[in-house]
Amino acid sequence: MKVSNKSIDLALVKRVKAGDCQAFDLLVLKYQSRLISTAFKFVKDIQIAEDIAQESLIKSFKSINSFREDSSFYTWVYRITVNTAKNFLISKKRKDELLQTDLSEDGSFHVEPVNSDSPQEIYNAAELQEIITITLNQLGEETKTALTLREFEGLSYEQIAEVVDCPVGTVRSRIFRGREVIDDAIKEYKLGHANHKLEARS
Amino acid sequence: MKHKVNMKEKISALADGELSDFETRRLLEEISSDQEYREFWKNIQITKSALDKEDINFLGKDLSEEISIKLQNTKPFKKEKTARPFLSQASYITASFFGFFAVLVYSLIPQSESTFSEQASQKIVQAIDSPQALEVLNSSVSGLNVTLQDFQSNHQGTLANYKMSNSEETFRVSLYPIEEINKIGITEATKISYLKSKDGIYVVSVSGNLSTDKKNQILRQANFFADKLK
Repeated sequence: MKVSNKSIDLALVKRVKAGDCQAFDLLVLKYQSRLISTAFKFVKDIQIAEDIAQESLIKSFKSINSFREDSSFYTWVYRITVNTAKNFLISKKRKDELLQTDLSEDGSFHVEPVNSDSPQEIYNAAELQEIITITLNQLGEETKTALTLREFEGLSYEQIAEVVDCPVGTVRSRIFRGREVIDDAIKEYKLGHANHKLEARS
Repeated sequence: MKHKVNMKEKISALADGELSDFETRRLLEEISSDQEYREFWKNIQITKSALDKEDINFLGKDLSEEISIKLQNTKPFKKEKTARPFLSQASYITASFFGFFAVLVYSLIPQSESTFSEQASQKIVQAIDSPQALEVLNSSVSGLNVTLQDFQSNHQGTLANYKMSNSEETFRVSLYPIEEINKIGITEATKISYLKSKDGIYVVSVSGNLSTDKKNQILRQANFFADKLK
């Protein structure tokens, strides 16, 4: 049986319910980019998308005790984000209508086009995905097998231990070693990206 | 150094849900105070998303610091529990008795069918003026590379105007209860379809400079996503 994301987050959600902000911080780090991306699909403006994601995460923290755990934390916070984005669009539409009635008579009002330019801060997703896949493929056979069974097949450490016939502790450290190598590759990519941005500015 | 490695191994296990509650609690205290651990956690999530082929376009963004500042001194709202003090037990039983009596009387009086149709109609009105209605419209145009220009929503229906991203062509998709069909101007270019729900029938229509194939596609997709309307 695969380990679901829902059960993975459960330990953190329980800690948040007990008022642990540090556990919530990890959930924010885990889901923030996906939520920004969700909001961006609606509002097509990166700054507004960030505000909506932030507002939704704060709402989710405040009302975490009403989260009944019958869906995954991500599904729940995703719904909050979609509703917040829709409410934003509705109130924006109302504001625009008001502005139009107030200003259209003298012709001074014009609707600003929606900002849908690609933001500079975003990474080249395809490039990063490729780096991660290449790094994974370059790992030693045992490490690669453990990490692949975990990430692609969703097996638990115990199940992986059975498949590769080794202790659970060994599986845990093999997966960790693989992630350490990938972590270095991501750091290097981020550094290169930051330098590239600096060069572009100067 | 060994401590750091040990800690990171635990972070890796936490990301897979393989850490006990006790270990999680101890680990959390250390993670938040160390930028390196937070970065490691974040990169594990990036890896998971990348290998899952998820959208990782906005990975450069970090809202955690601002959120953490805004949540300082904030606790999650407590779930409200209804207090039932001992003294109110008698009134609780009395209320239950009258409640039961009221249900009994209500079930003995014959109800006209219009009551139920009015309720259904009320549900349709609520559904048609809900965010889910726009969601059905947005879902119906998925895969068409369009931008939502504007939309209107009220109890008579939800209407959205879209623009094709690669041309100046615009079109309109709307959703309304069947009772409103006579009030909608149907031109030759309009294609309509009916969405049946347990509460009644909706009409979805597409008009504008679109090929018939695309209009049919939109109507099919609207049908597919109609169960979002509750």
